[in-house]
Amino acid sequence: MKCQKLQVCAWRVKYLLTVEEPLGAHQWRALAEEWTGSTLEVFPIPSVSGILYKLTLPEKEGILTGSDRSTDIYAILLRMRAEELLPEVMNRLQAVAYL
Amino acid sequence: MSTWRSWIRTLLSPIKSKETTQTESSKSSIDTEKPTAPPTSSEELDPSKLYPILPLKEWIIRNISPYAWDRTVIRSLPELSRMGIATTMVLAPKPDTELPLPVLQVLLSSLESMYGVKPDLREILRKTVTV
Amino acid sequence: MNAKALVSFQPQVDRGTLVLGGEPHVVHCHYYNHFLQTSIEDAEGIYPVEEVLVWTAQEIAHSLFKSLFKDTGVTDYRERKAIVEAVYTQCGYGKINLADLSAEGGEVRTPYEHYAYTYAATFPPRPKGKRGVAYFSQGYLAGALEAIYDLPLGSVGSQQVACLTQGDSEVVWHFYRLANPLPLKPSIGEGAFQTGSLVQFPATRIPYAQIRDAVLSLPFIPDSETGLIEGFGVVLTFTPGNYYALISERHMQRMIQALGKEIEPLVLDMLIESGHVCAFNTLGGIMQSAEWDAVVRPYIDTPEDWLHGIMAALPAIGWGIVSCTNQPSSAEWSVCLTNWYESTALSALSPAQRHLDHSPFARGLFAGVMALIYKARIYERRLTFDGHLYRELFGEGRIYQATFTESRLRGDPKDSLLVTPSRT
Repeated sequence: MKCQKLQVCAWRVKYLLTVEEPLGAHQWRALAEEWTGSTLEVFPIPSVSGILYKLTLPEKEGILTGSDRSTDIYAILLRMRAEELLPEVMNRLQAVAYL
Repeated sequence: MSTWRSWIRTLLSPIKSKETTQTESSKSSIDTEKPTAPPTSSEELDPSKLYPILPLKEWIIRNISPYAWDRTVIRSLPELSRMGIATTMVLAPKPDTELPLPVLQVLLSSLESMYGVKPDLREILRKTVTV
Repeated sequence: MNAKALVSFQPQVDRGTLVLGGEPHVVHCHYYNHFLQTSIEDAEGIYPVEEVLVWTAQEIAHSLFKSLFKDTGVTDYRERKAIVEAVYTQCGYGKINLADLSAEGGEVRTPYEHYAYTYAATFPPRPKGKRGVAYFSQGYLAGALEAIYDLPLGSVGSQQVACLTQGDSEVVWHFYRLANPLPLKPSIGEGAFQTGSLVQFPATRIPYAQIRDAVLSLPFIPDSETGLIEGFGVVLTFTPGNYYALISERHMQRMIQALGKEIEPLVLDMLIESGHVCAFNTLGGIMQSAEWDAVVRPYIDTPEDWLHGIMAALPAIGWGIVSCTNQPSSAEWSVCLTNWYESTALSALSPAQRHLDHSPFARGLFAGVMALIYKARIYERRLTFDGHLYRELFGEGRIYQATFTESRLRGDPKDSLLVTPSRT
């Protein structure tokens, strides 16, 4: 999985994580179910027939956003915890990528 | 203590402020409390002589941003006005525009208050002479 | 009464605006907000900058809430306060509780205010002893207080007495009745607005209207605890566009009054730079986001499509309607701006009341977008938005420059902007 730091901003660091295939609804749900305390929001965008996914990590320490149309997932993590959280985010994404 | 209040406390700790300075893109627009660059040696320049101002402008534009020069001038204008310096001389200095050392020091002081940067004026002026 | 339910933006698609309480609101990020404010604050030794930064917000909030209370028919003070609190949060300014305010004034304190929180979280420590950074909220709440109690505009004075940027745990403002009213003017509201439609450019697959509608449907929801809005990796606000336009105009006027016409290029440069900051952080953040990937990327075939994509999104963040007048390229981008929010605000003033004859912010913004696309090549690589990239794009020898070939503020019927590479 590719990872690039895009921006350090206010209390967040924004990373780009690239998976092999766009994650579907079942994979985002699995991610949320496995990650205790996280919250998944699904936003259909009817005008372009796309779906946005937003997973808020426990204690609002991060936000993962992605869509059904892209292999890119954005991890926007609390700056003070970003380095610790990033490997965990990547591992969990890796784990659901092959579901 | 709520999560967000805790975060801001952590972010405000002095240890972490260095990381912020190095990584943020828009530092240039904001005042800083402490200088991070080595101190200037302008004290060793002769206060009774005139010095060219253009090299300082060019240094600021090159090393910080064109806008940093604008801000430095705006910040310095009240003090320069008190010193009797015409606004036009600092707004658009020409290669032969020379001003007393205290004028350059006012500009350096504004620069430091905004960006925490205090360049070595002797070095800037020396390079210009060499070129 | 459910105050929250009464508070919602009304998108006006034929104007490219988001209206609340008769005020068009625009989305900006904290980088832009701080850049513009700090640039004005730099002049604190030249003129009293609070008269621009605070008073302008007071004028707008007073008109906004008067209009909102009238529209909703709410007369009860407690209910009016609830509406102000709800709007304040809905717009991403933070969280406030107005319970302790009366018609005589009082105190408001909060740990969560957009300018203070984002400054403290983002920038190095502010020098000790400087006043707080929450100018906008100070004026906004003063104007709101006047509207709540049906007081005349300018009858409430205000002061910020604590700030996170000074190490305080809260932002605190004091409000009080003034014996002599401040010389304030009611807001210009929707200004000299124009109407138009989003024109689908033929040489692209980018579906302008669908993208605008998609962005309008995106959830920019304030955090329940803080009232701050995180989006695209930055912190966003919905702020009355008139505020930005008027503080820019008034700052220019005050600087010229104090220092003469010679200062004009410097102030203009600052306003142009604010456009660069916005292109870099807000629009750059949008172009590297899951929202962009879902809504725009599937239709992108060429670098120029990035320009079309971002133009399609602008009406949904309240900036007006932007259309290409010909196919853009790295050598030239020509756009027509319909109801551009700054022009619309300033056109409502008489020519004698204004100095700016175009929107310098737009010049920096569109030049900045061109730089992101053709210099940074955002279409073929993901960018790391840091100081290095910023200097590369906007440092010495700016890559692109923009000029208004037609300007409503010069009496032309429309705004037209041309972006070309800078002459080196």
